[in-house]
Amino acid sequence: MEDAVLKRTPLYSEHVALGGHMVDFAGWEMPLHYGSIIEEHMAVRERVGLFDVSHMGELLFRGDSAASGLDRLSTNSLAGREAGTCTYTHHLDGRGMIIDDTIATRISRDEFLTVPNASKTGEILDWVGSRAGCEVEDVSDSVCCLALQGPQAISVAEKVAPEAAGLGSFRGLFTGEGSGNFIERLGAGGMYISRTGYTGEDGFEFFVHSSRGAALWSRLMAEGGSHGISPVGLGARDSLRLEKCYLLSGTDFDGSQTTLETGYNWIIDWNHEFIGREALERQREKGAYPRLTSFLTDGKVIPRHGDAVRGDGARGNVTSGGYSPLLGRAVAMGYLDVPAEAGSRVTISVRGREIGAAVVKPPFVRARKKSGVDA
Amino acid sequence: MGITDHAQSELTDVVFVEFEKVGKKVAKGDVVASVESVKTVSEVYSPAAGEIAAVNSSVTEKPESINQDPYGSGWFVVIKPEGENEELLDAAGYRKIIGEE
Repeated sequence: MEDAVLKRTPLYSEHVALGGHMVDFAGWEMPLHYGSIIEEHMAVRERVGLFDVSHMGELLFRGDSAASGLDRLSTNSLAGREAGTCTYTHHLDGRGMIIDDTIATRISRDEFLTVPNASKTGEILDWVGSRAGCEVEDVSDSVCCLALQGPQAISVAEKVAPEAAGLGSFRGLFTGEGSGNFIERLGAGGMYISRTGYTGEDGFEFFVHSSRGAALWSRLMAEGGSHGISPVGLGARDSLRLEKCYLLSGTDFDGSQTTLETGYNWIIDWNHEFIGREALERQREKGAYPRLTSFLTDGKVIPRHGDAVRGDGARGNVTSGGYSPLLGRAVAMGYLDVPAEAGSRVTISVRGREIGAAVVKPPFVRARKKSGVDA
Repeated sequence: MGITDHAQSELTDVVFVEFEKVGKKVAKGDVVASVESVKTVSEVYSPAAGEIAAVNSSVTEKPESINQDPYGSGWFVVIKPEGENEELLDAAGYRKIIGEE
């Protein structure tokens, strides 16, 4: 590890005051947990949890050509979306390999927001900066992002911003009156709220100016008190996303996997042109390529990144492994060189021991009925 | 013997524990248990030479007691030591050394 100074979000003091166990994550000093990863996980599944995700980047694409420029850098099409639409997408290189994933939000006709992963913000800025054909501004240092997630998130959100309750899934809006672009409105005290997240639960992400991050955190924690709100660290953020088979940047893709290999084919819009498209077309025609596969193990021994997987004629390695608090069992994802049927058996070598697991159709944990979401 | 409060905090939530067998002779530094937590897997070493006299099977059912009560119900094993072991510490002695009291 380099002896570099870790960056801190505007909420560092709040994390420490809450007993946050601080760790280095992609150069940021972030809370891994505040006591128990499993309890924080369950708080989000059953009630509501609050995450500081300010370590993630925020890039703004502006101008008449922002829509067409970002569209070309994105597997999903963005140009035809109306303002206030949030779209999950991948950025690919010319070989079709995933550089990063993000939710791209059309803030207005000529402004888009993307939220790169913390470890990828610089690389993405370099990649898109020279290719987008529009102004790209890195506003990561000026923006604080809090994620409020869980079945009771809506009850807490509407106390802070009544208009949030009317948001559909993957829709966003500004609070308050005002005009100007994203960063001007945040600078003037506004918030941008989107009904998005990384937990598979209903929830919201709040973007505010960094100077107002701590006040918003305190407000949400206070309003959430009667709902049993819990602060949630990166440990539960990982176990929550793994139960839903969401990809983790740098772990489930590291520069040598395509979108087809991840199985996220629904975010490829073949009706538009984008960098990496030709490579995906060739791979699709060829047909034989590794597939990200989900494994429900028989017990609690947790497969870790790199562990070997063997199935009936299939070979591969684990990319993500963890404990599912909801299932009470260890779960994992990894790439197999040939597709494996749901229900088929594999063994995973974990520290020299063979662990049995079943191939399952993702996600490990399915959504319960939600209220107020039109997705 | 067990693990310290600091150790359980570093491990994060324990989900699974495996013990060596009761009756096994161990040298100082031999593995007596392995602990699988949400974050990592760690081995627990014997602080003294001796024989494993008992293992805490209740933490197999309830591994969270290792996080909740590391100096009580979250104990790991009983080791019947051979010879003198003056350097061994109980929880109070450990706390004194690290300056908690």
